[in-house]
Amino acid sequence: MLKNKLNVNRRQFLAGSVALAATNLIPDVSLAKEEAAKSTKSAKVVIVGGGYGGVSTARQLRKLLPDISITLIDKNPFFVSCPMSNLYLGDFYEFGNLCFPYEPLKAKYNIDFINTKVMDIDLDKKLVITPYDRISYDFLVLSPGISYDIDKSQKDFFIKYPPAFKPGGEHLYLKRLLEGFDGGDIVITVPSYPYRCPPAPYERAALILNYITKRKLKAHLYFIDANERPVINSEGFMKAYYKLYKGYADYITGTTVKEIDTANNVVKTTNGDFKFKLANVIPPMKASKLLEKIGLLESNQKWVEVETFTFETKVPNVFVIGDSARTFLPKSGFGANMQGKIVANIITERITGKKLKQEELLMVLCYSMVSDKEAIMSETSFKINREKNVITPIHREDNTRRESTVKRYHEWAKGLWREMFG
Amino acid sequence: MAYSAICPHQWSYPSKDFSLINYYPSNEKSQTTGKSGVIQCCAHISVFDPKSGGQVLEGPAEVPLACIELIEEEGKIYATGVLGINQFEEFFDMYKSDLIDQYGGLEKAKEQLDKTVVMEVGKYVKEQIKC
Repeated sequence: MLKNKLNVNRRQFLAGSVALAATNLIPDVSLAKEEAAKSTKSAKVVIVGGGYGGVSTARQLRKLLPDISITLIDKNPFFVSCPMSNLYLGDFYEFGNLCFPYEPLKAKYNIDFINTKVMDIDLDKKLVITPYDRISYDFLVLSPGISYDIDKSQKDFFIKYPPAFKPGGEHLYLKRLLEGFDGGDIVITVPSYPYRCPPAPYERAALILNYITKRKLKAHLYFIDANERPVINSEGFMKAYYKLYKGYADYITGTTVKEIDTANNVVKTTNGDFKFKLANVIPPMKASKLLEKIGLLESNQKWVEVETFTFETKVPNVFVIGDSARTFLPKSGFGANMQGKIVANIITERITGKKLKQEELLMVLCYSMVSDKEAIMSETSFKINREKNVITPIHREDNTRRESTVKRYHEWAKGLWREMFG
Repeated sequence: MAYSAICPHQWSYPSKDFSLINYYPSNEKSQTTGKSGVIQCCAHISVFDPKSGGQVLEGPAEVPLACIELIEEEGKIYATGVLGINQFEEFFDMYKSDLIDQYGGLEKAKEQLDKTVVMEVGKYVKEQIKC
């Protein structure tokens, strides 16, 4: 049975967003302008990380500035989407449909792609250091995604039972574990918000429950949440769990993971121990380790401080976007896509010296499948008042399960991919 | 005037199966935005004002809907031109394989030119998805 009563959504992630509006690092803009006084042909932009933020930055920049040098660096040869990846785990989507190679960006849009790992960045000399090269830049956009906030002793466990919140192989292996699962207890845990993609753990729980029930497996899910309720679409998720999967799950809230007994397959929590046959422990997350190494992430912080409206760091002309940055936007692919466009516009302004229209309203949409045919969604608009340094979020949710929302979900993702890789 | 039903944000358009971009007449409010008398795309909730050249009222679209100039002659209506950023090139590039699947390539599509009829979107698509 489900232990948690249905509650109205607390919109916890929004409360966080409002507080963040006060964040306002002021880089030395005059210095930035002076240093950025480059002709459009000689300006060099390097983007580290080829996710939603990085690719969106590159495409928007190329649209605005046909002549500048744009280099995109990623350690993977192709993009794999985290949005929609729960649908792959739930058996509704082909993994190949989540993948897009970077290489065509060169032929079509003259965006240089380098498939390598960034070892270090010299922010003083403006050099990105890879195993084989030192790449100079005038503007640097860092969009490297998240790292798991775990200690070394837990590393083996997370290889054996991948969190699957970083795109690629983790999802493939978790799916294989799920396909090999023939019954027993499953444990899924959710860390305290913020983490990457607010609805993702709740969608995953619903789709794994759907997977179990469709196959008539004798299985039970212990869904252990550090938050008091689903941080988004609470009503919609709770109704789905209660109506569609009653008896297959315990939803245990306000509970955090203390320790994992890997020898005995037990997750020890603040609310008791849970033995499992299959686990998906989603660990706390923080900004990419690269950002810590180069000094943009303070040692006592989880996310990189950036200027509220420009996403510029304390180093002029160095931007951090996407899930690594502490911003007013939820950590999501759609948010990173918008941040990428905003940063591309700012870089264009600095290179050309011409002002572009500034965004007054930003919007983030999140869709979640809750069964094999139905989805729910939420939308948050952020009204921006730059003069007063105020951001006003307006949050709306459609918690009614609809088949038509599934079609919107698919088109939402396909639209983003068209814009990035089309 | 008419408007292109290709959303200028990320090129959603009415397929035979469903349409996410739709007109909300003055007596029908959008459930999401509460607006009426607008054209709205439910993929990413871009809202356009048909009374002011398809301008963006809300949402992530950066440019207005492309405006199609119409002329009436002897009871027939002709589309004679496009105003604004039409993005047709991008659209045909993005959907090339889908369009070939549906219409069988350029030559077959050309055969359709004289047979093309104008109809209400509700009659063309199986489902108008409004939000």
